[in-house]
Amino acid sequence: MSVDTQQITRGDAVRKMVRHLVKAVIPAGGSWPESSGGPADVPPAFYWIRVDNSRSPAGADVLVSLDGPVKQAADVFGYWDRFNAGERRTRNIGHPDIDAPAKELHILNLGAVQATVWVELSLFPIVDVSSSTATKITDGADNTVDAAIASLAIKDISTYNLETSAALGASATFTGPWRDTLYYNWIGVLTLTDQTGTLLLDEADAATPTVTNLVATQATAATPGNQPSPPAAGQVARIVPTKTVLRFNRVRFINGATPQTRLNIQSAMSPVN
Amino acid sequence: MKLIIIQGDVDDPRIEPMLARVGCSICELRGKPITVQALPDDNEMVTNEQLLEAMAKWSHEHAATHSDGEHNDHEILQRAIQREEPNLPQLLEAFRKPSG
Repeated sequence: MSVDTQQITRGDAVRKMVRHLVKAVIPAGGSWPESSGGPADVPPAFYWIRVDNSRSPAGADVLVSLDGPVKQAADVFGYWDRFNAGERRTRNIGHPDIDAPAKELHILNLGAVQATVWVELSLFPIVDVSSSTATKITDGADNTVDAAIASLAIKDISTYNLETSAALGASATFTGPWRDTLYYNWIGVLTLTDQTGTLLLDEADAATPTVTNLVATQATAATPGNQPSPPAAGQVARIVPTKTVLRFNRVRFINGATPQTRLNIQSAMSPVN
Repeated sequence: MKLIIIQGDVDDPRIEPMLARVGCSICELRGKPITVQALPDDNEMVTNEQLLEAMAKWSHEHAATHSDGEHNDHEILQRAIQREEPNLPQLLEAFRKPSG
């Protein structure tokens, strides 16, 4: 997908388009950011938004607007979507290269208690199939239907994650987030760095695990002579795509005795083999 | 943005499980795991990159609290773990003893 960089330029500052996280704390009946000390600056342009309204100690429903503060709950045209307490969804808000990206974000707390809402904004897809409450194609027992290739084209919904690109200190460990592989069968990991270290892949039964397990471990090795560039020659470790057994998977890396000057860890999750 | 530094392992319940974190393998192998996670302050908008950079910065600063000898011993130990060397229990035992 190509992105028109002119389109995502805001004012006199060109924003770097990466994943943005917001922890919006909204007073009872209040509006974010207007009445809760939120960022004075506007959010970056975005096409995908993930709203997690499942983390408030006491639940409260919220309304989300993309073009101005929400005035009142009764005005159904005054907001874009409603996220009830406990709800967590990802939505696409426009067509890249055709629609203008959203550039505003306002949240109204409908509850009588403070709401804490985590919001993720991205110019690129946030794939969160498993937690979606949207309609799914299921059979009578609520299982996802099987479809024969001959009758239905199945698009590859593989996701590619940049785990980190921040260089670590000596003997430091990096632990990526648990990634839900409910709708993925395979996960693989690649690390490119300039110092020796060990790449690991873990699995767990839940995001807050009851049990965890080490799936694979791979020490880095010097890149071969015919390794393409960039980056410059250095160290590489790759865990080949592995069939998932437990539902959640994550990446770890343990650095060696020398501080890194560069590190790039990427993972990929794929639904088909 | 704030850095949460806890004396606990990567799966400590105080850590956000769906966000990245860093730690120190030397401290972990010595039974004193330390885990650091960068999180947005309330109502703050930050990039994932900024969170990762803040954690990586901490890792460089923390590395200075260990000697070069400790870092070298740790690397040797990690290699032994990787190769499942038969004397691994002895190496681990020696590594866990405070130096000096």
